Amino acid sequence: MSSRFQSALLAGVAAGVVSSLLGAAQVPILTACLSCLIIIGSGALAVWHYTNTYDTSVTPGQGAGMGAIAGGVAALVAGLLALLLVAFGVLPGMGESLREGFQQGAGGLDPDQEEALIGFFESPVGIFVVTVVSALFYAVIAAIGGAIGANVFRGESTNRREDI
Amino acid sequence: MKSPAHLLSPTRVRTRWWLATVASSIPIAAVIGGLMQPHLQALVWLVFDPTCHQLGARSFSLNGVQAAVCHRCFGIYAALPLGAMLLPVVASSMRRFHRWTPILILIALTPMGVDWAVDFFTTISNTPVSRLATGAAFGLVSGLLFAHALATSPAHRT
Repeated sequence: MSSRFQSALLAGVAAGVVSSLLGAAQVPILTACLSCLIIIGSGALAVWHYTNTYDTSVTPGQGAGMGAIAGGVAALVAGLLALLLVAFGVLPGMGESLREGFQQGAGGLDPDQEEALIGFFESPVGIFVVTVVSALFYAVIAAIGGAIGANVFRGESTNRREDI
Repeated sequence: MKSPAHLLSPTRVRTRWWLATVASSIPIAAVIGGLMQPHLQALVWLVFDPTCHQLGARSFSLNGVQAAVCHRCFGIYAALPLGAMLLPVVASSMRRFHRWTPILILIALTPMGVDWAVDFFTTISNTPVSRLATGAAFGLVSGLLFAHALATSPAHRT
């Protein structure tokens, strides 16, 4: 396993765990705002860990790649932890969240169609679809953090070399 | 657009800029839920559920359908591609500000942090406009820095 991938994996797991813990803490506005920044920050965290550990730097392209992996991993880890937290009754399930969404105007469907949609997203296939799509979205969002992180974080030796 | 990275051809810089713009447009799905089919709306709602509080009073509606993200996230996601699109306009200045990237990020985060902190710690409430504007400021800078980073990234760091 390459060291860049390891850093991305580590950042993704950290972001997924912190994001889930914040979700479980249930402080509505604090939790949500931080979760959004945590996903963007997971890409930057991956780059920071790699450049700091190996005293080197990465190109923004490589940073974006690392960020994409970190974001994807964060989504998978958060998804798995969410399943556990739902099982233990700490978090509401997907169906509950979707019901709230329908109450707030999402969908515009009749009640039978809403229940069918909720049933689908509560099924294993529905959970799998949501997890995969989340991983894709989070990968894009974290890639932005990774690319920017590559410009921000550079190893000491790289900074010295570029200052000459 | 000139090629800021002397290692890259202008065509490659342009192609990467386009890629950055397209990539930063993807999270817009969270904003335009009202224009989607109901099952896609539900999917987008669930995808952004862990990252946003999705409170009705703090979210915009499109076509009578509440967006999957709040005002502030709406601003961030909507401004990301706009920031990326700005790159050709400010490309020459970006080279000068390259070393100031961390400061630029801090400056972009500050209004958002102040707006949130004032609402959270005091009795003064922020408004949809302040949440949207501060989120958009961060999104704009992030989109610009992302596009600049990708467009000018050399193939290998030596």
